[in-house]
Amino acid sequence: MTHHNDDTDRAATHQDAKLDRLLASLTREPAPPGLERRILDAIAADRATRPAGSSQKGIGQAFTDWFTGALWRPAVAAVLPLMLGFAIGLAAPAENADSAVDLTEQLALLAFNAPEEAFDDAQ
Amino acid sequence: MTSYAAACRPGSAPTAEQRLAVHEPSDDELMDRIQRGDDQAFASLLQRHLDAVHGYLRRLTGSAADAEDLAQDTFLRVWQKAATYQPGKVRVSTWVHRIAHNLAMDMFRRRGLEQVAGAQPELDSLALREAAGPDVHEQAEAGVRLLRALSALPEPQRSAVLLCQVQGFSNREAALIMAVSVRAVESLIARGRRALKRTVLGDES
Repeated sequence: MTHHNDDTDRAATHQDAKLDRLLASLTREPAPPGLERRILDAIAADRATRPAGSSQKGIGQAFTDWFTGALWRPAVAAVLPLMLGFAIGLAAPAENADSAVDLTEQLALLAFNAPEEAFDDAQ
Repeated sequence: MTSYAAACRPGSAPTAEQRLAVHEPSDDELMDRIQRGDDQAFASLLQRHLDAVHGYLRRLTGSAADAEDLAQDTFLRVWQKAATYQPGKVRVSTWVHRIAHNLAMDMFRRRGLEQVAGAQPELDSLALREAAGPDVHEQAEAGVRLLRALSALPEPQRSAVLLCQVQGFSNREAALIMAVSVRAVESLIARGRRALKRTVLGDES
């Protein structure tokens, strides 16, 4: 029984090797002589009809490529607005007495009333 | 890229072959230049991959005319869509073959799959490597039987066998080209090989 199995295995291996040899015998046939020229001409024609640089990388594509290039990049992109907020907050000038809006005026603004009416209401 | 220092021993002038090896840009470098609109880089890439792509399309479609048209469309698409290629994700040859495969599938769909499945390959002009030795005739006959058997395989099996066993792609790359799973490719190859062995070698196992 084992002997029979060995023979079957050996025959299968032999057939596999034979098929591999046959598949390997399929040559990488050279492309027809005029095809390369034909393709280059087609590219030249395409280039003439399309706006210059249309096959080049756009800003959107470049950003997408950068964004998906590495794991840390989306993280940096997410933190960027937060950092920007801090930067704006720190850069804003501190309020001083002169520029501060009067409390009555602030109340009027919140109540959508004219300042004098707000003052009357308060009284 | 190999540097002169790495390619040449100190004190010896670089040979022509070494000089070529040093200056030969990689596919990714060529794609980078094509993305910036460099015609010369495109011509180099075309020269490098045209034979392989044309050969694949020729055996997939079984028609010289279709293979030429599809190869032209493939490289036109490569030029137009160069910006979408992302280096490092797949090899350029895988990307180009994927475009070629998709275009062939579109053509099959347009014409109807049954018509393509019945197509006979143009055997007269399909090159088989000259076999050496006394069994030249037998090998040539087996080669013709192989081409016929390949064209009779269902399209997915034919694509998988061609990509992995003739074009030299890994199963993973073939899966990317065919947009199927690696396990599906393995199964397609196994079934394709079984059918080929049965038809070409008369294997009944």
